[in-house]
Amino acid sequence: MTPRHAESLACAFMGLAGLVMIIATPHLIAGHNSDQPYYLQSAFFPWVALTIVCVFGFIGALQAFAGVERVQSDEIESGDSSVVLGVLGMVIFGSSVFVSLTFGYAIAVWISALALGLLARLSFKSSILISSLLAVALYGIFVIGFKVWFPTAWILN
Amino acid sequence: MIEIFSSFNSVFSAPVISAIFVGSVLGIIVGVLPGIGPGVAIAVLLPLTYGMSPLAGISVLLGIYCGAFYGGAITSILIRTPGEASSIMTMFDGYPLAKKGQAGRALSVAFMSSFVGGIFSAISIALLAPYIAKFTSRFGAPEFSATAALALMCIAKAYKGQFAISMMSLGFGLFMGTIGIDQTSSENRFTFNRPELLTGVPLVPVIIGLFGIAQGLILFATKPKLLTIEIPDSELSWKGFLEPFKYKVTLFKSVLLGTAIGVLPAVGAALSTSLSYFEARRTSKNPESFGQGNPEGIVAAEAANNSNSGGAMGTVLTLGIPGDAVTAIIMGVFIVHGVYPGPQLFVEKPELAYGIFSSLVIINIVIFAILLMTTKYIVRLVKVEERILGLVILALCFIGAYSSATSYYGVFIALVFGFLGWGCAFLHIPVIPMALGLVMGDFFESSLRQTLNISSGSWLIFWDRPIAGSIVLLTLLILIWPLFSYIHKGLKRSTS
Repeated sequence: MTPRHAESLACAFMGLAGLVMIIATPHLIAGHNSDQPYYLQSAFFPWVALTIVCVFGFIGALQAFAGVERVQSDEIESGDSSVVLGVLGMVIFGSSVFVSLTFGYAIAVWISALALGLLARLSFKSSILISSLLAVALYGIFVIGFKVWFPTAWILN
Repeated sequence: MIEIFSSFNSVFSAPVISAIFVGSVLGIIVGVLPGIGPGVAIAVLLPLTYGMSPLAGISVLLGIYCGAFYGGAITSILIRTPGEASSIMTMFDGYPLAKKGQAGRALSVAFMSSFVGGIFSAISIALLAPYIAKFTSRFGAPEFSATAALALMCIAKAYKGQFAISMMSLGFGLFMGTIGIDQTSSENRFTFNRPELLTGVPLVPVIIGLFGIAQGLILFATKPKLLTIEIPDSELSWKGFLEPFKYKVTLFKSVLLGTAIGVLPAVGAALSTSLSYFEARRTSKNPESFGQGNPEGIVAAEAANNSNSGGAMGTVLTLGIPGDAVTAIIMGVFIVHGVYPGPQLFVEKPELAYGIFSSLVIINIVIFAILLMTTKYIVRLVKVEERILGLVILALCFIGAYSSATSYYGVFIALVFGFLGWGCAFLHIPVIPMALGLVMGDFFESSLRQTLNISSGSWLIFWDRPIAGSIVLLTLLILIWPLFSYIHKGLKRSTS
């Protein structure tokens, strides 16, 4: 699948999801009163937003499929970034929540930064150095300096 | 006028000056570092501002915003790598000049042009803002809802060739903004009985996810590169600092153009730099020298680039409408501090409204002073490995998202939106409209429903009010203009 097709498919999915949500909206609002005038109903603005998603999602799918020339913008560019590494990075980032709950914040930063460094093929020495520096600096600035509270690590309980 | 001068008092306090200094240094570093824009840096460093006063917090972010403009010029000139779209034009003449062994001269011209642009736009918008605010203070709900619609339309329009996709992204942002308790009916919308969702999707973790985590993951997963960057000698020169004043007309025109374009939502610095550059080339006696190291090209691009900041802040403060990702995040900081930008800000909190413009003036002076002393050291940062940067950004995102609500819920939200932003980067779906939709959704919804409530549901209310009617007409024209243009082109083709 080419990037153009993937973009087109994603837009079509968003359009379809918008359509489904338009229908489902009254059911997803607790105590929705459909007898009120339309502008007083709490579903009014979500409908406006979802209609935009739906209509422009389908148009965008067609445009992307046809291929459009893009202008340079301040959007993030994926460049030659690896998808697999990105997904693994996200998994490590997500699991650092559990590591933080279990071992505490500083150790969680150290472990996840070390794992990310090794995953990104940085040398073992660099990974150790960067993760240690990060753990100490962030703990010092945020936990000690800004007094950000973290729950006591499970291991200490 | 008195308010402007007295606002300097609030700026000249230790917390605000320290904030300006920290923000300026960070901004310059961000501008030089590869792969990070001011949006990402501001998103990641947002939590630093929580404990600060609104003016100090906003000054940090403005320092990053302006500092990145200056820093972007360094990489454009020295290594032909514009960090931001708005720095591309600087590269056209800056890099050839650096190749001729005059990198210091090119940098000096760029810094002075940026400095003049930044100072001029901050002062001129500060002088104009009260009048704009006075005018917009007559706005009622119909005018505000029409203005919000126009701003959102401009944001989507900025993505030439991707209008439909950016509208889709914008609509998604607006929808995300509706999650939580509806302020009019007190009904729970899309909360799925989750108490965390009652107050809506938290803005800060969303911003951290969309910009910070997405960028962190991309940088972290970038293939290792063999770094062979040669940094030319970059000694700044006083002669170079005076050079922009040789091109007074270009300097003045570029600053005016940059400030005016900065006021318009979403049009952005990239357009103002290219317009100024091509205007300077068009009116030059020596147009063929542009692109080959003509300092006038650098003057045009850099003066327009940095003068955007004042204009963009003017729109946020007088109308409460952000024009780009950075101003949207800055507006988020206002909201976090319980301050709602708009015309009333000049009446209720003049020291803050004018303080922001005074802060912009001081920021430009501080950045200029820092660059005078540190440019030759700062340029070395271009060699920093992207993978290491990604790692640091991810670690900062974790603590930033957590500290936004002192809960892992923030990290979870940031992760979800990080995944979304990361996916969008691969699929070329713009996320800035999504963030702006989320920031402006509440304002747009409340003003639109208030308008329809006044008119008992009749949309003709917009035509009964000249200002609202004109804005709606303009919005509709922008929306259907491509259709007209398409039909016109088709007719022309068929007749030929």
